[in-house]
Amino acid sequence: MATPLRLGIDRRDDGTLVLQAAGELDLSNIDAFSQALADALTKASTDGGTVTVDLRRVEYLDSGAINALFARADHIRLIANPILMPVLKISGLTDVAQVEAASPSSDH
Amino acid sequence: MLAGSLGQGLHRVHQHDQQRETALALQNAILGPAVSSGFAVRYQPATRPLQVGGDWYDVVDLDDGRIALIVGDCVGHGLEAATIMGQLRSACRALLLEHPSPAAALTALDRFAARLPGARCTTAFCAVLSPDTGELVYSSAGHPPPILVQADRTMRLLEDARATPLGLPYDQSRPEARDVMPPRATLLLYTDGLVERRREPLDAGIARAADLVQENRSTALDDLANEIMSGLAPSDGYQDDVALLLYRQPVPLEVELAADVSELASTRAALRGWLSRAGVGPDQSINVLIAAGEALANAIEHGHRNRTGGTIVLLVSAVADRLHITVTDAGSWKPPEPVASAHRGRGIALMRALMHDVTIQPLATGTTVHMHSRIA
Repeated sequence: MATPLRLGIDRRDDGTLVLQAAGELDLSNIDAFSQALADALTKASTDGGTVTVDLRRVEYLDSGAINALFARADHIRLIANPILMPVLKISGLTDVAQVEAASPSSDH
Repeated sequence: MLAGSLGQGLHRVHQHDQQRETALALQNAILGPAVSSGFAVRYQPATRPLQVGGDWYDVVDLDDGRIALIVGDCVGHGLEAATIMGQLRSACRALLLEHPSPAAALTALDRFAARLPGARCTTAFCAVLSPDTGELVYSSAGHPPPILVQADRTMRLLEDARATPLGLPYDQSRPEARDVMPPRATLLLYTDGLVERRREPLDAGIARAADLVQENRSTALDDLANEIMSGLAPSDGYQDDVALLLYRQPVPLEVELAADVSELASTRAALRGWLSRAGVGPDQSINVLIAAGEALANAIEHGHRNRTGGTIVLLVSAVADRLHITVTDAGSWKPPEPVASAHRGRGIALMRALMHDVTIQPLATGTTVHMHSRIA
């Protein structure tokens, strides 16, 4: 069974670029995630902005995804599923990137 | 004259050896081969040098995914009791496969035992376990009650649904009771030889066995079986046949996967389900899933660099207060490539941060990762 993952890039009314991911991030789809992150940053860089990475609907991620986020830490604002906050803290990502936990019931 | 009696003596020795071989073959045919993983069994007949007796245990995988657990005790010892035991054991197995109800099986076994000389007054305990939920349905034919010890040390006996031993006039249908084994609870089924001592009530022996299970509820099942057999043995050895059967909820998880990233999601789903059955809460589950995922990803990425078609084995088991994960592959994790090393370094650091006692064993045949996690 393939790892479930949906990716989408949107520009909000206020101009913010948002990369939305839903599903699970692992070694099988890390290239797709990294590419989507790079695409979003390219779009955002034309107007000097940062990208909001919306991982509220990501149920699982591993060190591959954390590495991809580390590499772009200065240019992202991360909204995470609360269940993943401990691992994001342990990895040190919360020290270098702006990370906030979504409220458990929050939706789009 | 002397030569004659020597010859007779040798003949007797030869007969004796043959009898022993026959008995061993019979025991292996009756009690072997190994039971499913997740169970530990011990069997010790009182009569030496015979390796068979009137006690038995059985673990039967039923068609609906449930598992039947049986222990029984025929009257008497030695080869004669063993032949009766073998017939009752086989009959009980067939009955449960046909209709997986302990009460129905023992009721039918009553009729079978009533027609089999020497089978009357056999005691037996029969349970059907739903491994997904820990639910037990059981019935006892005059057999000492199994001991159930929860992860928090609470102990209870499965002493409902009791009726007479097998093969006696008994015209009612046999009773059936229900219990649920909570996650990481340990169940001990046994025969009275394990707990019975001269000049001592049976309850005292049962309490002694319960103490041992309570003390060792965080001991691996096979080691616990050894502890019980040695801890309860009288100074002059067991004087009666002994059979015991141990189970801990849930059955350990064993997944063999191809060394391919497409296997990760289904393996994770299997582990997620198992962690829930083992009573691990969502906050801890995600940490365990990530740590296991790192070990699996490393095994896929680096364990099989120079070969194809390799397999990886994930083993997960629980005791009362912790779980143990093993990931084994057939490759080598070294040397790290410059580009990959930062990635791998973070993966291994995560494993160490999320779990306790992470060891990575490079062997000639591959790499094995062991990890523990304490369960609150």
